[in-house]
Amino acid sequence: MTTTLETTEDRARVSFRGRFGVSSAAQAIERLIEAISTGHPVDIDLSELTEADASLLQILLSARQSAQAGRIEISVSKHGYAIVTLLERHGLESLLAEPFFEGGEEVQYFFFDEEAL
Amino acid sequence: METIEQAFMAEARDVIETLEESLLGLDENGEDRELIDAAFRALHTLKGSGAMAGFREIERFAHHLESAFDGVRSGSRPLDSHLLSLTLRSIDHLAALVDAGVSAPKALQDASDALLAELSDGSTPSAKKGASASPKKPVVGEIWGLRAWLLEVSPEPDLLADGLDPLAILQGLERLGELALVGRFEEPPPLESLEPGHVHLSYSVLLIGEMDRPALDEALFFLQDRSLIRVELLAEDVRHDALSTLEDEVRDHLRDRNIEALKQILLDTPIHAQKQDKPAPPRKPAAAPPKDAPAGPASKEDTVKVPAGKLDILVDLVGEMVIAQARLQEISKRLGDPELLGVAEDLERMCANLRDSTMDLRMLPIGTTFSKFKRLVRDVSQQLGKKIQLVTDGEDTELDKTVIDKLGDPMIHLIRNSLDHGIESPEARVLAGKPETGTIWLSARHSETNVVIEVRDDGKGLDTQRIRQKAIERGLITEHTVLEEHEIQELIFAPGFSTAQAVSALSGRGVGMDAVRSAVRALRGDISIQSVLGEGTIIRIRLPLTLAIIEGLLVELGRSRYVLPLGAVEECIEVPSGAAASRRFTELRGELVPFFSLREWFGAPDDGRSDRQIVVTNVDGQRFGFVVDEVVGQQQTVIKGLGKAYRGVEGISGATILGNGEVALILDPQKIASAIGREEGGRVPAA
Repeated sequence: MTTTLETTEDRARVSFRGRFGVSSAAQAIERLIEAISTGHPVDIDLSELTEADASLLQILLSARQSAQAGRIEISVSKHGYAIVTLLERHGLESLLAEPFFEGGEEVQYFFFDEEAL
Repeated sequence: METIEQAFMAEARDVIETLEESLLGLDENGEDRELIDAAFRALHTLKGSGAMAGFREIERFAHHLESAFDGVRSGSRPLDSHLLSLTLRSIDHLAALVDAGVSAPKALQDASDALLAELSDGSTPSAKKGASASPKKPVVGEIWGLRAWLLEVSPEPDLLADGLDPLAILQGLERLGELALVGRFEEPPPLESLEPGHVHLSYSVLLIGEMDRPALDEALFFLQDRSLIRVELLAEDVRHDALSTLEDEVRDHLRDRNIEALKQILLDTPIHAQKQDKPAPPRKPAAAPPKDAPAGPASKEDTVKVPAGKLDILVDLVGEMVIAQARLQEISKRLGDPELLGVAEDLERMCANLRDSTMDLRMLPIGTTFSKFKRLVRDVSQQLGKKIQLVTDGEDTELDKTVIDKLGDPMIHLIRNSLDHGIESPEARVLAGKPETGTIWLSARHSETNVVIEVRDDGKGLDTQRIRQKAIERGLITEHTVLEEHEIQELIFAPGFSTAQAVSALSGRGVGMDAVRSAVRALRGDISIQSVLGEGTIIRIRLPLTLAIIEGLLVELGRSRYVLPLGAVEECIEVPSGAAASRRFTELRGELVPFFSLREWFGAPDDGRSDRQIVVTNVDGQRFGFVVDEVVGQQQTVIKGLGKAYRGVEGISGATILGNGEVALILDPQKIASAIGREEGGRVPAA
C-alpha cells in the first residue's frame, strides 16, 4: 500500500494504491495532513485502491474534520471498486451518488451525507 | 497454528470440489433440484467464508456466480450447456483465486471481470466491477419458518489494531442466512489526533435464516470476547425472501434504529399475509445444514481437519514404536521372564490397535480422485468432438492418502489415452456397429491386501500387429522374437513406445505409459493390460492398501527371514510326505494347489530338510503355496524402501527391521507367482 501526495499551484492530490489496512494508516494520515496544510483544495484519488477496511473510512472522516476546521475544500475525485464495496458493506453506498462535492458558498466539505452518518 | 486464511483456503478447496461434483452431476441431469441447491449453497459458502477471511475477490466473484445460480434455482435462467461450461470455467478461476491468497493479483481480477461479463450476458447486469453487489434475489419457493435476528455490535476500540476486521467477521454471517448490515460511525477526532487502530464504529445487523441462538453465537465466536453484542430475536416465521424484497426499507430502519418499524415490516409484509392461504412446509430443524452441505457449525463437532503432514509424523512415530516393541518382545523371549513377557504381549496388542487406528486415519475414499476425472472426460471429449461417458464404480474403496495423491497423474494419463486413442469418433463407432457414445469405466475394489483399479473402455482396442511392427522398428524386439498376444500388448509400457499416428497434445508423445508404470511401481504396485481389437481395453492397477505398516507372516529360509503380507496368507500346511522337487501340486480339501520352493526361487542350496511347511496364499482367488523352512509367526511390519539398487528386484516389495535388528525382505506373493508361471511356461498358473 502506498499513499502519495502531488501538489500543483492550486490543488493537492492524495492517491491511495493497493491494499489498505491499519498498518498503512500512519502514512495515509501524514500525507493527508500535508495535503490539507497546503491550504489548497484537496483531491483524494481512490481509484487504485484494491482493498480497504474500516480504518480507511475513519481516516477519511477524520480528514474531513480537519479540512472543515481549516475551511479547506476536500473531495474524492476518483473512486474504484474497493471503496464502493466498503461503503456498500457499511450500508452507505447511496452516498456515492454524484455529485460527491459541490463548491461555492454552500460547500459540502466531503462526500458523505452528514445526516446519514 | 492455522491462520484464518489457511483455514479458509483448505475449506474453499473442499467446497470447490463439491461444487464441481454438483456441476458435473448437472451436466448429466440439469433438472436435479438437489444438485442445483448444492451448487448454490457451495457458492454461498465461498462468498461468506471468503468475506470472513478477507478474500474479497472471491467474495465478489462468488457473489455474482451465486446470483446466476439463484436465477437457475428460481427457474428464471435456464441451466444450458453454455452456463454450465462457463460455471465450470469459473470454478477453475475460483480455485486460482484461492491459491493466490488474500490479495488477488490484477491479472486474476481482470480474469474475474471477463468471466463475469460473460455471465452477465444472461444474468445479472450488475456483475461488472464497481456496480452494486447488493443481492436482489427473485422470489424462490414458498419457505417460511425463518427467524429474524437483530444484532447491535460495538467492537472493542483496539480490535482493528489487533488485525481483526469486525466488518469481515460480520459479513461471515452470510453463511447462516440473508444479511443486511449498516455501519454507524461516531465522529472521529481530527487527523492530527486520530489513532487509526482505534475503532470508531458500531454495526446494526439484521440476519434472517434458520439459525438458532447457539448457531449465532458460534458464528460470532471471534467477536464475542472483543465486542459488546446485543442480540434480539425480532420475529419468527419470516419468509426467506423478506429481506431481498424489502432491503431498502430494512436498511433505512436499521440505520435509524427504528426497531418497531423493522418488526412491523417483517411481520406485516404482503408476502407474509399470503401465507394464510397456503400451507407452510414443515419447519426444518434449526441450524441443521442440509446433508450434503459443506461443513457448517453442526458438523464441526464431528470432524477435525488435520494437516496431512501431521498424520505422516504420527505414522512415522507409530512405525518406530512398532520396531521398538518387536525389539522388546525379542528381548523378553530371550530372557524368559514371565512378567516381562506379559508386558511385551500387552504392548504388542496395544501397538497393533494403535497402528490400525493410525493407518485408518490416512485412508481416504478413492472417489475423491474419481470426481476429478468426470471433469476431464467432459472437457476432453468436447475438445475431441467425441461422445464419451464416464461410468464409475467403487468410489467408497479406501486407500492410503499418499497412494491416492501419487495416483492422480498416472490415472489422468490412462484416461486421456482412452479418450484420445481408445474411443473412436462417433462416425467410426457407428460404422463399427457400436453406440455413438463411447464409455470409459473407472472402478476400484479391494482384493485382499490390495486395491485393484481398472480403467476400461469400449474403444478400438490395441492392434497387436501394429505394436509388434513398431517394437521391431524401435529395436525393442527382433523379427524373430516369439511373443504371446498379451506380451505384445505389454510392450506399450516400454520406454518411448508409441503407436500414435500423430503426436497428440492430449496424451503426449507416447512416453506416458512407461511413466505410468514407473509411478505405479514406485507405489509398490503393478500394472497390466488386456485388450481385444475392436472391442476395447482394460488397464488394471494393483496397489497395496498402505505404504507404511502391514501385518506380516515371518518365515525362515536357512538363516534368513522373510515377511509375507498376512492379508494374502490363507493357511499354513505341512509339505506332504514324499513330495518330490518335481511335484508342484498338493491337494487341499479337494482342490489342487500349486506350490513352489522359495529356496529354489532364491537359488539357495537344498539342505535336505523334510519338515518344511507350505504357506498357502490367495491372490485374486488364485491359490499358490510357498515352501519355507519354518513359519516363525505373525509380525507387525514397518515397510522400509529398498533403495534404488534393489528396486527392480522381482517379487520383493520392501524390507523391514526385525526386533533383533536384522533386516527381513518383504515378499510379493502375486509377483513371485506370476514370475514362476512365466518361467514354467504356464505349467503353474499365474495369479
